Amino acid sequence: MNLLSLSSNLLLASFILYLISTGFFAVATSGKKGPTRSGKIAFSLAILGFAAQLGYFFTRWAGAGHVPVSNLYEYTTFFGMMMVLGFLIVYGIYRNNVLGLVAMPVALLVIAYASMFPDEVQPLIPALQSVWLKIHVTTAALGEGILAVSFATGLLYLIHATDFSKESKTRTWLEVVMFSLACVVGYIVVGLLFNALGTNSTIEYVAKNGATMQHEYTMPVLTGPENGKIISGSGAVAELPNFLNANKVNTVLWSLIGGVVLYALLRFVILRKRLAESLKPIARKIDLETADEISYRAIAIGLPIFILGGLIFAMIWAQMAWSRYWGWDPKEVWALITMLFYVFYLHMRIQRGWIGKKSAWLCVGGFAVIMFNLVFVNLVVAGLHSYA
Amino acid sequence: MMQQEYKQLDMRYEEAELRSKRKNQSWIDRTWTFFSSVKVGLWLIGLIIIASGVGTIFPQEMYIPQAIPPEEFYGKEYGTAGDMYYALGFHNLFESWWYIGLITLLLLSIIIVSIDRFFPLYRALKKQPVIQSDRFMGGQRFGAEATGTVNQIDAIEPLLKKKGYKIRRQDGALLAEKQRFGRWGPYINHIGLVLFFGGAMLRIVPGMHEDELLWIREGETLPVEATDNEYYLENNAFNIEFYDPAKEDEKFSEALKRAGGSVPKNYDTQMTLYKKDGMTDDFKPKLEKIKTGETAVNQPFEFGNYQVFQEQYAADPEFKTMSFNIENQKTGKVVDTIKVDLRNPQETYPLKDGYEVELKDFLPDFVVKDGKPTTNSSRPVNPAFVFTIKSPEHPEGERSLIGIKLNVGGDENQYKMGFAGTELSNISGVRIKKDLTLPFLFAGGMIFMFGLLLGMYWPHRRLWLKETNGQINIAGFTNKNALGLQKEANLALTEVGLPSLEDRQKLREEGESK
Repeated sequence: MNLLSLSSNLLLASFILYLISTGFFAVATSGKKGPTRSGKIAFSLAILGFAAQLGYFFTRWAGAGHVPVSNLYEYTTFFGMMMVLGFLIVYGIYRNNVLGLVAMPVALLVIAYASMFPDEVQPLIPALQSVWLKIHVTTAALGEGILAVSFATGLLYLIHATDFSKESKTRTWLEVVMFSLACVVGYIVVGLLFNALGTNSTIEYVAKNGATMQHEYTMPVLTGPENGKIISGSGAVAELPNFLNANKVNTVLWSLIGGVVLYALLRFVILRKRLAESLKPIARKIDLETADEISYRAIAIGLPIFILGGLIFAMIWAQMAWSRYWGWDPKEVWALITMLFYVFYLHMRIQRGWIGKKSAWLCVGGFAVIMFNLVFVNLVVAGLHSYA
Repeated sequence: MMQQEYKQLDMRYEEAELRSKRKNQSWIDRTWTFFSSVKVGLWLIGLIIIASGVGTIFPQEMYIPQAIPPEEFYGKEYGTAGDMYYALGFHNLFESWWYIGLITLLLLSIIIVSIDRFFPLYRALKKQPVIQSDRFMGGQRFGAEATGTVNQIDAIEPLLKKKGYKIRRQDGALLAEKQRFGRWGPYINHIGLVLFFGGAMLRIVPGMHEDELLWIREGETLPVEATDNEYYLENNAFNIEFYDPAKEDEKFSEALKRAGGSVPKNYDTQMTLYKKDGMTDDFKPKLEKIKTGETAVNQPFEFGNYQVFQEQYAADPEFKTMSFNIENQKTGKVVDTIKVDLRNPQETYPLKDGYEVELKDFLPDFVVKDGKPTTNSSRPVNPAFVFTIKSPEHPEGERSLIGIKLNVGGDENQYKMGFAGTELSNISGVRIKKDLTLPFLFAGGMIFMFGLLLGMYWPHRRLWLKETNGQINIAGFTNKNALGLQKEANLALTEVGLPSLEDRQKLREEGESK
């Protein structure tokens, strides 16, 4: 067995371990308060899973010959790993099982999302051949991973603090968050399904600049390019003007469909109540003050690390590779926005006394900014960082 | 035992008088107050976040293809939304006056807010009394009261000392304090930010910043304008290497197939640096060789305050020379060979035995426009020549148009120009940079991080104890990590038989919610 296949087996092992760990966290929270036996088992399994993922990381590093954080698959996987690390650190301090029940699934979701990208090892273009690839990317991901813990606790805080029997803005927006998570799951499930079914299509079209281009679809074609010519597979249900990427719109549509179906199924058939409301019995097990404090501390630890990795190291490397430390590339701008957003949070909290609900919403918003930078900036906006 | 309830004090600035909180303000005071408001600062941050986000919806002007003018590009590429984006100036957002204005206002706010608060805070902490009023102590977030004696306060002194507290005593009362410097954290990181942005603005000072993109062909020596033409760079060779799926990079084959084209592995320019040392007699610069070296991506070539970055390369190389055989078409005999230097073509090329070739016209980038041969650019990427071959048989010369796979009017001639090889030359795009502002930015960044860590991880903690008529009054303060203070203080307090600190804020909140 060569290093690279060993590496992907280790990743699969870690995924399964995280999954079982989540199960034990569920058992631990259904019992009485405090660190129970199942809580300890869950924590141990999470550590074991993390060790397996470290194994994935280093065997892939050895196999590829460079640090595996150079494309979307590798980066997103690493980000998931750093979320687990962030959780492990916080769990070490607070021993809170409820947190595990929220943080681990979010990390699992991120790792599963990573698996949707091409997973073969890629050669490094000259700009990426630098020690700063290791330093900048890993530090930035670690910072983001720790910041993500504040999303988990912020969410728990909001669910705990919300009275679901009454109409309120919090109730509505919490459902929006839950629906967004459902869409991510929808995207993964639909992607795996169509991959297994092999519903590939290729459509040729003429782009604005006159060049003949092709869209390679992996999902059944709902939206195709203007005047597209079917090379293989099925034709489009609707044609879109060519300044929109019909292939990407198609993927977004399918994710939405998957999300709506999943959400409707959970909401009206399985749980028969709001998704956030169904999490309330779990969220009630963490007291509000602890949730609020963990959120704050996760940001207090995560933000300096993120600024160091995502902005300072980034600028040093950009100066060496591109001869300018700052170039208003979308990824750079969104890293700045991430920093400003959390700076806003800290000032609001310290200077203007925003604690509790308002502060928890900012934690959720911060994670949305991080995910936007990871998903949309790479896939939709695209700039110097779209290496995948 | 009834204890008096006090209103909790805002301890952020130790109740010091801030200029921005004065009444009866002049207009200077009002401006000062405006900028020293954290609220205003946060509004500015919010606006910068939104503006920056909008600025990434479509690519900025500097990232769009240069072939299309921006006023057309946005509409063509993104429809009406693109037209609006351009019309509103978002295509060049980050250099727009209002975006720079927002950042300047934020900087001003950071500076003023820091001055407004730092000096009063510093004075207040410097001259703080050991014995505080009941109102002050009762107004602290943490506190406790109990009957007790000065002996207990004496006993706690060494315990707190061991924890790293500095102790001051007066008439039996005690003030224990540690990590006051943690309070300076925010001001230090604000100074770092101001230094960083101030450093970035230093670019406008002449001589601080030079930036030049130099396209330089292999074998060419060009003056570097960024150095006031004091230095010259010669491109000795440009190398480019691509990943080869057939060879050592087999594991990358799948990714390379997906990428579709060739993925560069490395490209670099071997160069020689010269310094101009006056002029020669025929008014050419006298060049003194300084050093040789290479510039590759991530590894700039350095001299003095300058760095030479390998930035780009021309996708298709230029022709450097072209050689031709002058052939007798009837006998197939080659009369002679000429080599045309495309950068410096001559008008006539004398040959053996009285033959001569005249170069009547040279079209470096040949195209036919309106039925006439002409040139598209001055870059020799598709050269064509109008030659006249003068021979003993044809003293007036035989004319023909020669290019790549092109020979017009030469078939009937007795002599023809036949291709006899070419030399190609790569063109390397190097960026020459001098940026004396970088040390300021670096120092600013480091100071910022230092201040951030100081403020975040070194909480300022204080404990007051005083005895009046057999009553011991205890108060505690921390600006971060409440649990940490309670843990530390309670251990010492209980050891000398005093009660633990109460979190009065929590009690008050619980009282309110009931």
